[in-house]
Amino acid sequence: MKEKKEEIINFIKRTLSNEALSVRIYIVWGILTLLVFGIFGLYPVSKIFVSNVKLLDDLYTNNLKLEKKIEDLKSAKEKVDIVGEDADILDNFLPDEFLAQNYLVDFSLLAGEAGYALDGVKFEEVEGSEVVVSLNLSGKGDLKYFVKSLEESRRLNEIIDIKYSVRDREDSVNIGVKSFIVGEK
Amino acid sequence: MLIFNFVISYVIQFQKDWQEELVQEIDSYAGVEEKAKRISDKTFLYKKFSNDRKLLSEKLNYVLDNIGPDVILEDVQMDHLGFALSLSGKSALDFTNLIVRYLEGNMLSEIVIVSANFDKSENDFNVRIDGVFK
Repeated sequence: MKEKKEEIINFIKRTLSNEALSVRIYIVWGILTLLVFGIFGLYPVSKIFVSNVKLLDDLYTNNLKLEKKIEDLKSAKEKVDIVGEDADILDNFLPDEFLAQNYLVDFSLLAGEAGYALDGVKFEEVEGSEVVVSLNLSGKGDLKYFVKSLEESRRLNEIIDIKYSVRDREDSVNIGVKSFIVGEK
Repeated sequence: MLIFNFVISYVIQFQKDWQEELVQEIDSYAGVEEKAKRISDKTFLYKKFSNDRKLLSEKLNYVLDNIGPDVILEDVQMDHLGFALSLSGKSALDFTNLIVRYLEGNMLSEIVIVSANFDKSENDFNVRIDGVFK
């Protein structure tokens, strides 16, 4: 047994003492080490690197979008500041909801300017963005001027129909008007 | 590779800090976008309603201006499709001239004399005319 053991040790010593053979062993050992540690070490580090690059790209793209958004907001703010209180005037011309008293005042003023008396106003139900109003007027006024005034009013009106009767003392006018609001979207 | 990872982690941190600054700046504009959108939507709606609505004043002017002094208007009913007139006058020729004037205006596709009565006691014609706009 002891002889066998010494024989194996002597064989190893003889083999390693041969330089050409030992160089080959070291090269094979080196290549094996590189392959094994390369695969188990380089792969996860590379994977993290690739995912970091992707993350960086996403962050950069998002930041550019945010910068553009800020530019848009700056521009919007400048415009909103310029519009300022004029937005309230727009609200008045195209109200969010129907307020009968505002329309009543408008129609009454326009009728008076045209030489008519506003005898009656009937507001129909609001349908979407439209309100239909029936106006009853009397007097010796200027119908063409009144209709033109209604249509040129900043508060948007569309004349639906007109019934006009000429009488000796005072004429009778019945006008159907469609007015617009923002209403339900 | 480790050095690359270190460098890229540093750049990622820089991007994150930059993003936080941008988000804070966006927060400072809170409400601006909503207000701008509201004004823009309302302006768009106003223009839409203004452009879509049909105007009747031109048609009314056409109907009334063509009547002239020879016939007397008693009653008008009109909408965007057409009109109905009740008139009186001393001569049948005046009504013929009126119809010719209406047709010459090129705004009507049809004009019809619905009825024509002669009132002997008053010595005048009572005529009802219907017109259809093009």
